[in-house]
Amino acid sequence: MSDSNQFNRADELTRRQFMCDSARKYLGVTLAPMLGASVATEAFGFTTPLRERAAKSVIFLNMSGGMSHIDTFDPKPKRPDVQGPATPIDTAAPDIQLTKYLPKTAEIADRICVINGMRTNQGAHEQGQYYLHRSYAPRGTIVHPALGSWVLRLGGRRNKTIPGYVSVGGSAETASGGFMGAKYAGVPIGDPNDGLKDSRRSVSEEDFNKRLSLADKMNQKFHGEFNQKQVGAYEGLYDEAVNLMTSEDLKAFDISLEPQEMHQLYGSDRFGRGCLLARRLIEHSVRFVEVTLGGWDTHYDNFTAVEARAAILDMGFSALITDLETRGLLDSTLVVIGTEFGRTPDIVTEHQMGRDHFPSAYSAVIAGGGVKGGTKYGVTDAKGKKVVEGEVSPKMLNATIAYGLGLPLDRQVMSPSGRPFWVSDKAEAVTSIFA
Amino acid sequence: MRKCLLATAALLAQVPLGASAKVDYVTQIQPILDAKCAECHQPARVIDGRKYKPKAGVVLNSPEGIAEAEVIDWGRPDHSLLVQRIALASGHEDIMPPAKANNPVTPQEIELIKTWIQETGGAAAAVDPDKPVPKVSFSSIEAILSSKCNECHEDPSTSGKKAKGGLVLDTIGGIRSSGSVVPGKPETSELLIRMELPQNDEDVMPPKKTGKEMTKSEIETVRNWILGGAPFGDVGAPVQPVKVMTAAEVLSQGVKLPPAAALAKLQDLGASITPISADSPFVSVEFISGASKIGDDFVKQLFLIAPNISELDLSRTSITDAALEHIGSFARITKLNLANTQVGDAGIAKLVDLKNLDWLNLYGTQVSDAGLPEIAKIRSLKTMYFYQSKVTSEGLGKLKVAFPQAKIVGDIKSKKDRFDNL
Repeated sequence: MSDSNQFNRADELTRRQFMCDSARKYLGVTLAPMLGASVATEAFGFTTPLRERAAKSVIFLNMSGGMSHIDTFDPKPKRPDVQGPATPIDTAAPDIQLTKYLPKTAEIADRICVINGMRTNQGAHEQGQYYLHRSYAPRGTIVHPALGSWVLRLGGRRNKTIPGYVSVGGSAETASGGFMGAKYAGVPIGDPNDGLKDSRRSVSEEDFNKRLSLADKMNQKFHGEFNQKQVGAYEGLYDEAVNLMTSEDLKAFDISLEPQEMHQLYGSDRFGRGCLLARRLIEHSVRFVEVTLGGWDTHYDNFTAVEARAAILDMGFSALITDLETRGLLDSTLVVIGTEFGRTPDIVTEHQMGRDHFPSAYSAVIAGGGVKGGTKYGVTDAKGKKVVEGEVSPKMLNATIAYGLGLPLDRQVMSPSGRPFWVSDKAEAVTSIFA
Repeated sequence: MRKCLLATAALLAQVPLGASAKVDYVTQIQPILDAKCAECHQPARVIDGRKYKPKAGVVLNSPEGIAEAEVIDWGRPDHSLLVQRIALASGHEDIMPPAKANNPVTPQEIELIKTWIQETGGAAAAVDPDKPVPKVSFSSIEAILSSKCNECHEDPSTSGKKAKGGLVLDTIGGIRSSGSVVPGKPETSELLIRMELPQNDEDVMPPKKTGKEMTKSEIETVRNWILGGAPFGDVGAPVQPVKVMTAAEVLSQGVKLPPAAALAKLQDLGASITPISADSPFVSVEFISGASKIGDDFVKQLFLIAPNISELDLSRTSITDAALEHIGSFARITKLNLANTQVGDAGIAKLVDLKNLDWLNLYGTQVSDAGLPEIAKIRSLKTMYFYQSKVTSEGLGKLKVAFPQAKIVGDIKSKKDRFDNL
C-alpha cells in the first residue's frame, strides 16, 4: 500500500470533487475513480501465506431482489408441495440437480460449485444487499466499502490504463467505495451498449493538448509553492484520465465489436449484454466486474416471474462460463452468483403462488478460478427451510472470493475515524471448494 | 534438446542470472532421468491405440512425478529408493534401469543425483521438530488388522481355511514373512499402498465389496507405525519421517530471486511481473496494457529472468514463430498463453523441450492439425486450448487419444469439442 491512506480523510472529498469538476470542465473527462496507481504488485514484499496461483479476476452476478433457491439451484424433488411447477432436471454433473428453468446451466454444471447452505441475518432488500456486498451490517456512522473496492485496495488494479472495478446495471450505491472513497469505487455502467461514458474527447486533439499543457503550466506554479505529496497525487488524476482516453484497452468497453454469434450466445437483454461486456473487461485484466439482474422479488406469481428471470440468468451465465472456458480464462476468473436472500419454501397460494423473503436458507454459485466443478457445498433440509450442513454467511462468501484471489483476509484497513475493518469482517473462507 | 539446453546455459553464463552453482535440476538431473528412466517411467500415454502406463505407477521425468512417487527422501540420498535401486550392483535383479535395457546410470550420474538430493534436502524446510511422528505401538495396528483384514487373512492353522493370497496378517510371523511391511518405508510397504488406493481401484484393500473401507485416521496410524520402524514390541524413539517436497519445490531448487535490475528493466518495457507465491523465486510475466507493442525483440529480453519464469502470458502481443525459439528454452515454464497471436505450427515445434509445461493456450492462433504431433511430444501437458485456431475437430479427437487424462478445449459451437474429455 504505497499511498498510505492519503485519500481516506473525509474532509478531502470536497476538494477532490472540485478537482473532478475542474477536470470535466477543462479537459472533458469525468472519471474520478481512476485516480491513483495500482498497489501491491511491487514484487516480493508479502509475508502472509496466501493462496498460490490464485484467480486474477471476479465476475459477480448480483441477483437483486432475492432469488428463490428452490426454483433454481436447490430443488426439492421429494416435496412437490414445496417445489411447485419448477420441476428438477439432471445436469452434466451427477451430483447436481437444477430446475427446468436452468437448462443451459445444467449443461455446464460440471464447471460450477453450488453453495446450498447460504444463511443471512438480513431480511430486507437494502440491508441484505448491503451485507452481501460489504460483509458488514449497515451502520449509521459509516459506509463500508464494497467487495470490489476491497479487492482493488488489497490486490491492486491489474490493467493500469482502465478502471479496475466496473459495475454494470446496478445502482451507484451498490458499488460505492464507502470510507475508502471514490478511488476504490466501481465505475457504474447503465446500459452495456453505451460503454464507458465521457471517456472520449469532446474537443479536438489539438485543443485537448493545448488545454492540457496550459493546465500543466498553471500546475507547475502551484506545485512549486505547495510541493506536497497530496498535491502531486491530484495531478495523477489528469495522468490517469489521459491514460484512459488514449488507452488501446478502451475498446474493451465496446461490445459492438463482438461478432453477431457472440451476441446471440449471451442474449440481447441487458443482463446478457452485461455478461458479454464482463468477459471483454476480464480479457483486458479488469479485476472486478459486477453485473446486476433485478426483478427477483417474486411475492406474487412467483413461478411466472422466476421462469422469466431464470431464462435470462441461464443464458447469460452459461454463455459466460462456456466463453471464458474456451478462451482459457475460466481458470483465472471466479464467476459468482449471489443474492441477498432466498424465498419461502411454502408457496403463498393467495398471492397467485407467490414466495416471500427467506433469509434462513438459500443458494449461491461459485465457478472458475480453481473451484472444483460439478460439486455442491452445504445442504438444506428436505423442504429447503433450514441449513443442516455447511452453513455459509454472506461474509464467508466474500471471504471465499477474497481467498480465491489470493488476498489476505487478515489485513486490516483503518477507516478515517480510526476504526479497523477487514475484507470479510474476519469471517473464514470456505477453502475446501478449491481444487 | 541437449543443444538447446547448452545454448541456454551458455546464455545464462553471460548474464548475472538466477541459477546457482549448485546441482541444477533442469539442466543436470532432468536430462539423466529423461535418458535413463523416462522410457518406462513417463505419464500414461496412448500410441497407435495401445495404452502405456508408467511402470509401478512411478513417473520420473517430471518434478510432479518425482514428488508424487515419493522415491526420494530429501536430504538423505542413501535412504532414497531412487538411489538405492540405481546403485545396486550390476546383475542384481532389482537394479534400475533393468539389465535388459542395457542403459545403466553411470557412477558419475549417481553421484550427481546423490549430491542433488543432499543439497536440495538441505535447502528445504527442516522437519518440523514440534510434529514428530506419533509413536504407534503394535497393539493399535493389531486392532485395525483384526477389524479390517483378518477375516480373509487369518492363519490357516487356526481358521481351517486358506488365507487370501497366502497372506497372513493375524500373526507377527505372518506379517514379517509377507514382505508387505518395509520398516521406515511406507511408500514401499504394500500393506499401506493397497489400503491407500482409491476406492474404485480393483486392487484396493480391504476390497470394496466388504464395505470395510479404511478410515483416514487408520491409514495414518498404519503409516506412522511403519515410519516409526514397524515395531512389534515396545515403542522406541521415533525415527525421522521421510521429507516430502512438492513439484514446485523440486523445480525451484537452485533458482535465485530474479535480479531487481532485470525486473525493473522488463517492467519499464511494459511487462507486469508478479511472484507466484510469497516464498517462491518464480514469477508470472504478462503484458496487460499495450500488449500489441510487444514483439519478438522484446521476448529476447526475457532471458534476463529466464530461470524464474513459471507463467508467461503473451496473448494479444505481436510475437511470431521466431519468438518461440527463445521461449522453447525457458525450461521451467509451466503455463504458456499464446492466445490471439500469429504463432503457428513452425513455432509450436520449437516448444517440444518444455518438459514442465502443463497449461498451453493456443486460442486464436494459426496452429493447425499439422502442429499437433509436435504438441503431443510435450508429455507434461494437462490443459490445452484450441478455440478459433486452425485445428479441426478430427485433429482434436486424435489429440484426446494421445492425452487421455488432459483437458482439451476446442470449438464453442460444437458441443463435442467445446469442453474436455474428462
